Amino acid sequence: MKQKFQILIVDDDVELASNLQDILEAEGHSTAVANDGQTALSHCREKVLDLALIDIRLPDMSGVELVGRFSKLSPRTEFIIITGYASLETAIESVQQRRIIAYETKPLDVEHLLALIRQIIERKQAEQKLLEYQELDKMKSDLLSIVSHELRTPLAVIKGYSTMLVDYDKRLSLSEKRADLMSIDRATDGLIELVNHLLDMSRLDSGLLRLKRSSTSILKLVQKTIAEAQLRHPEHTVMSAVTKRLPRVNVDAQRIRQVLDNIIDNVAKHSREGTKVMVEAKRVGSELQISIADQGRGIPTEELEKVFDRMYRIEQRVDPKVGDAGLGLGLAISKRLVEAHGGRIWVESEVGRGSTFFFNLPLDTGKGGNHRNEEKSKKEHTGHRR
Amino acid sequence: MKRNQRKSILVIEDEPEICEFASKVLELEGYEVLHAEDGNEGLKLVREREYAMILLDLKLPESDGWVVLEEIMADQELHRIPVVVFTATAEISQRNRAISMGVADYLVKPVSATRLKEIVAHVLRQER
Repeated sequence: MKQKFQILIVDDDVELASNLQDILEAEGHSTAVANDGQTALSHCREKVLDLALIDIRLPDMSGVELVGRFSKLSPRTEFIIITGYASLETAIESVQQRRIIAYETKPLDVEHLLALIRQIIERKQAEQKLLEYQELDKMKSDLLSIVSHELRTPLAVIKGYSTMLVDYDKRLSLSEKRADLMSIDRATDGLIELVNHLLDMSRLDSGLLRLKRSSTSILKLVQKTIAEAQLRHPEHTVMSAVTKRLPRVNVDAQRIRQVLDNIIDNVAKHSREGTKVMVEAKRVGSELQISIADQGRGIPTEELEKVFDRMYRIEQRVDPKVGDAGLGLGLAISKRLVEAHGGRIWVESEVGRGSTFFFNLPLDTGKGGNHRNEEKSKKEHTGHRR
Repeated sequence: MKRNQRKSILVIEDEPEICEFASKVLELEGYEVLHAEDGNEGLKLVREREYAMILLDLKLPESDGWVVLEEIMADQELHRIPVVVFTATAEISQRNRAISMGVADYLVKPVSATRLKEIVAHVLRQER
């Protein structure tokens, strides 16, 4: 959280302004000086300022007037008025107005001023924290009500079909019973996935998720993923194009597999039967790029960034054909997992044509990996080959 | 009741497996069941023939369950059909809102086959 301020000093006393500047910079703040009101206003248009120290008497306007115009342009800036004893009353009055938080009298008591600034910083930090807590609180209660809703749907299937099997045992045929049991089984899988996603998200949130990196062949990983994805999605054609001789990467194979699965399941869900899902992996500069392209409906531009938000699915109206029972946490988790590997993830899309999800992983993944791999990759770099 | 005229129930529910569960139980209980997967289809079906009861999910694609409920309750004829809400939304505020709009009952998922059948029988008995 912010410890240092962007401070603007507005005073036509050049020497005093410069002295103040030295003192505040020595405290670690960034400062700028304006010698009149107009210059001060142009400063505030250029930069976000946390605090302005304003002399009550400026060549072109009064300090109080400047505060009025300033605060309209930059509502988050705090103001301290600097005044001589001659204008003390005006200064006190101005503090009683809302925007100006304090006045300081000339000659300036530097210690007092610095203490005041520290106070302001503390208050701003507290306000910021409060805001964050409020947001967190809201998110928690939203999540709770969503989780409750999403748990009830598979539970309804399990409870419903199992009691039906008991109540109407004699009137149901064997194949009906079998179908009912399979419904129960699918709902159970849904519940397991839900719990896993929640657990992953909470581990990612609290930083408890540890990557188990090892040297991994992306070619093999993609091939295995695709073979299994094809079984899960017989209604789609899942294909791959992987550059041979891709260097091995130092990743948590299971987690990267999870990212791929999440994205493939997601695009399969959002594209019609019979369409293709194309998985590609290639080297792009110093990164490995994996892309998953669908022939689905596409995502409107304004929603592209939100796709990876954890509440994305919840906020939009759910498509009936998607039939998706889940929290929509899959992509949010994928983003965090890719980022934990030092990579990035994004999606490009054209409405009506389809979407392509990309994620890049650094090929040199020394950071956070284990030392042996790090050394090995270094050797390969400088080594005998070539 | 068990002569030729079986009572018809309209199930408006977008989750296919839950829709099938409810339909199957109601059919086993001797009712004729029609179902709609979204709010618009539900509103279309509800005007096409007579129903003894409507089982309505609240979170629906197209027209939301609340929209369906409002339209039914505002209609001079349709509002006489008892509506039983069948939802995964457990919030009391939602429940109160539905009750104040005049629904016959508010069932929170999960619900057993036994309970579903009893509630429906109870609601239909009151109607006679």
